[in-house]
Amino acid sequence: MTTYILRRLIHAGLVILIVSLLVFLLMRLLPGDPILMYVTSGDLQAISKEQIEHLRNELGMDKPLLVQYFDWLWHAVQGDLGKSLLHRYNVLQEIGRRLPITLYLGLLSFVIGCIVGPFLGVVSAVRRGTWVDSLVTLLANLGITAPPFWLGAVLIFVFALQLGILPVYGYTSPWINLGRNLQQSLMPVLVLATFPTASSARQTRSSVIEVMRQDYIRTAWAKGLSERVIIVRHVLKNALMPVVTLQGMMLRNIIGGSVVVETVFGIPGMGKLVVDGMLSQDYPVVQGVILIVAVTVVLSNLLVDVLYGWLDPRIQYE
Amino acid sequence: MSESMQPITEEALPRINEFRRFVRVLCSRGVVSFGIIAITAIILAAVFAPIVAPYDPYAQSLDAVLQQPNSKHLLGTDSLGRDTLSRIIFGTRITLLIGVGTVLIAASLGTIIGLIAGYFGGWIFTVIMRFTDGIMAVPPLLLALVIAALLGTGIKGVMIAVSFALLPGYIRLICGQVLSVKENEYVMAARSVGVSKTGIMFRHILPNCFSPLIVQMTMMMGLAILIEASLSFLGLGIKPPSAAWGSMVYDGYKYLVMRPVLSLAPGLAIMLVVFAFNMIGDGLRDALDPRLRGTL
Repeated sequence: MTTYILRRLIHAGLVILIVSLLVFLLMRLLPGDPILMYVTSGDLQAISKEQIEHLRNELGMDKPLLVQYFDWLWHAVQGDLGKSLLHRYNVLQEIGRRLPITLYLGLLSFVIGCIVGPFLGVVSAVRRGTWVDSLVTLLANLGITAPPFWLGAVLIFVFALQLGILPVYGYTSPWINLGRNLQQSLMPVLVLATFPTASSARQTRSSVIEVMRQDYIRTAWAKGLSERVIIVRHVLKNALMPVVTLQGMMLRNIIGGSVVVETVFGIPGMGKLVVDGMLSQDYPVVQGVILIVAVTVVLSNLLVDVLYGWLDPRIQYE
Repeated sequence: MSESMQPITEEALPRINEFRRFVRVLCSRGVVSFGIIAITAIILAAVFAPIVAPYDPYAQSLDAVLQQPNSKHLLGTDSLGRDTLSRIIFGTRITLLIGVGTVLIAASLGTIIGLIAGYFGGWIFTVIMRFTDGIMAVPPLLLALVIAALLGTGIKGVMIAVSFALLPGYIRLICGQVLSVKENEYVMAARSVGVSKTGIMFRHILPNCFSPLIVQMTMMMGLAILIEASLSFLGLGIKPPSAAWGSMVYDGYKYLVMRPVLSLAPGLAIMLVVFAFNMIGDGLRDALDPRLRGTL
């Protein structure tokens, strides 16, 4: 087990290294000179060509790409992700300020997706062919198709503009005002949770139906066990495996979704940071955010794999 | 095998028209038929957009801005006086182009890379799969965002960006298929009679990967359309004045209080297309894989 986790950790490190190289190269291929971005955010008139070259040298942008990459990586490992070109803030500190907001909303949505989705899926599979099943299936299919930005607009229109019961946008820390935080988080979390809930409901439904066809379930019925015992003890245990696999990808999708949701609801999280960084070609910011996102995703996948072995004793770690 | 044995085995098996069975299973569920009808209608709308659309989607009329839905403009007009319905109808062109185009690009590239990784194995497999893992660690939307910014906004840039975001899914799928298919005896047989590696890959292995590939392609069309719409919404996709549904939702967003239809209508259009593609994908999965029939 320990060697397995160790091997997976090395693998995770390799993946993160590849992501960092990929993102670094992509950002450096962006059209436009980042140094001009740096300069124009200050005072372009007062600066001469020599000063620009001096600045380029100072920021290390005149070195070969690979050298720049290893410089950046070396600093990143030591916890220094550089400074924003536009606003000059420390990228890691800024991410540290915004990551908790994204994770707070993301994890709430994740938990909702993990509980409500499988629950609906089981109910729908057990009551297969009834109106409950049709309703859940329809909702699940709609849930995986609704564009998050549009769903956000619909919710804002109904609950904030028409009914006036929820604030349109903004974010308040739960430590400062919990009530306000919950009010403001309700719609974003609902939008973020829609896709995970819908897709795990679909996945659970199909795998529960698959398991219910197995011989051992027929045996359980024949033994005269109650429906509850059969579902909870025999069906669920076997049907939840593919759902757990799905959850690994889910966190990645929630973080991806937060890019859109934070823009719609004006939430100062990582998603908003990366979109703003992208629009202003502030590459240290974008690089930093993607690196942190990749680390989060890779580590959560690792967690899912370990969890998998715990859930399914048939899996042997070599 | 002697000639005389042929008719006996043929007769022993009941004759099944595979195509008819396929169509019957595909259309057995109402939602799948709905998906097929919806996509056919959307394709027709895209092809005949100039005839179907009541107005020119780019014609501004500044004396008729932000009109409510009325008999002249069924879905009203936007802030520049352009007819919303006509823009949605013309938007089908971009949507279908992105949906079908990106999936074709990603699927063909992904298939070739996946075939190579799965068939050759060894270090080639390791290198390709580690890169795939790397790309998969970044949410597809975020990845598409970076590439779209790199290539500049516009249809070409968005298509490449979305294709790249979809690519790892196909590499994984095909690679996994190849790993199981290549163990079959007919592959060994082909190898022993001296068929070339490319011959084996494309003529013997690839056709056996088709059914999951087709299902995945249909499902991914919905995802591709959603990514494009999100990019356009964030201002890093297809730029105005092009009639892209995502940017229409964004434009209408500013007038949500006054004219909600400007945002809601193009969003519903996106949902309809994605829903239709997903339903067809579900139907195809059922029709191509009898084991899964009726479970999804």
